[in-house]
Amino acid sequence: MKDRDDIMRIFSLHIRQILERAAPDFRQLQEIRLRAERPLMIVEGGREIFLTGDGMRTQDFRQAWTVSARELQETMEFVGKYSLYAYEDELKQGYLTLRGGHRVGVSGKTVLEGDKVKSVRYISCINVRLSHEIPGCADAVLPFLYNENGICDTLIVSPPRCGKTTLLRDLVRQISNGNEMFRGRTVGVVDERSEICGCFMGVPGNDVGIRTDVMDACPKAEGMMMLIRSMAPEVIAVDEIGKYEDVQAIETVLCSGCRLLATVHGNDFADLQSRPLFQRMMTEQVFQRYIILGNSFRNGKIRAVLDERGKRLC
Amino acid sequence: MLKFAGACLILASASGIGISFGADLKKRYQELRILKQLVYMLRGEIRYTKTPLPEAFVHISVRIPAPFGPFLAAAAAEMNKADGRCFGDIWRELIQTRLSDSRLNRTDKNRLETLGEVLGYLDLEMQLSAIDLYLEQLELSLREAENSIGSKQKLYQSLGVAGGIFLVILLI
Repeated sequence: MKDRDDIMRIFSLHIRQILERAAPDFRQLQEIRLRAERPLMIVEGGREIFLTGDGMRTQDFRQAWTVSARELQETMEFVGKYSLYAYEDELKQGYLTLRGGHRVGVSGKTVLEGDKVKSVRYISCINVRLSHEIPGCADAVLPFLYNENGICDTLIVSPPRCGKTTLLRDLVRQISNGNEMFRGRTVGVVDERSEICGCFMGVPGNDVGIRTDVMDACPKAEGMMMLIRSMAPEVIAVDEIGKYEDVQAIETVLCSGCRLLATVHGNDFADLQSRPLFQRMMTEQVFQRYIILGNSFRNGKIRAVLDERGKRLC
Repeated sequence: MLKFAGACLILASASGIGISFGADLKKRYQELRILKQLVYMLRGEIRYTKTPLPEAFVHISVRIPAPFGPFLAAAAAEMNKADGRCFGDIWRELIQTRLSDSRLNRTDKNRLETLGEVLGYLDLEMQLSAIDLYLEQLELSLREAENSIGSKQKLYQSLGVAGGIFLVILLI
């Protein structure tokens, strides 16, 4: 994995040594979890594995290395490049994004200003979630996303950790590059959490196609409007919609003639229908395609591709 | 003749030492001014663009003369290594190695080391407050250094010449 060294460098020295000895397969590695005074754990290929102080793998948490508060603090220093103030806004949301789009989730004691979270202090849990580029993972669904009018407005519905961002990234890449059947299109990506493109200093680290413009670390609703005004995209892609202002911005995007690719947390079509936020959009059949993912996505399977009425296409 | 030449040499070297001490005072004042400029630039990078320290150091290092430019560049390089040391340790080590030739006195260096202890892990407001506090201390040092130039520079020069004459009389 190209970012292996960058990822290893964020850990405190001893945790780094344990991980080096354990030599996890970075292509399969999904998470590295550090909790203060709790066992060191990784998730590889969907399986939880505990690591001992010597870097041995074990299923017995009592033998695992207990992560100290000091190790967590050191890790946070390296994650934030000794400059946590620079990531204050991201920390408010509970995560930081590393180069390559890997997400470092944090939890601990929050500092409030009024009734809003100002910052997270005394960070006691860190979850490093690795982003994986899987070129070609959208091959199976791509043909279903085109109709006589071109690309359909598409919503990817998936529970967490089932690969919706990975699928969205590959869809963006393929739509942007084009192929023998479909011409390449200008795609605008609003990458609020820097996960889709993995930008570093504004330049995408992941392959998101040759006709892709990225608005990095930008709120979705604002970013969509900015892209429409400035970059004339044919397709706009956003990850994890879930606020009323996102839905309003989506309506504006659709009125402007752009096509939309979006993802949302959810289990299935019925689950979305039951949510007030999406009810109107579904009644008005705003999206013509729904891609439903499940836990089986890791094995290369997609649960279903549905049309605007929820009818199964594949 | 030989005695006269020797006396001249002693006088010249003693005066030279006095002048050199005076020049050191001026040099310290100049270095403190550069340091102030550096901290203002760092404050701007943190306040307006929230730039992480390694990047901010690289930006500033190209605009600041030696020894502080190379000092910041070295700090950025050490931080990017992420070899397990905390920022305070890196900062302290570099002050000892990279600023050993500077004319900053022990107090100046101690204050700079203290700045390294608080940089990095605080939130933005506290970060800026810590920098403001350091700037206040720096201002005091600058005023003290400026006064020293006025009063002590001439004193060192006179003492150098007087010491030379005294040594010549003593030896003759």
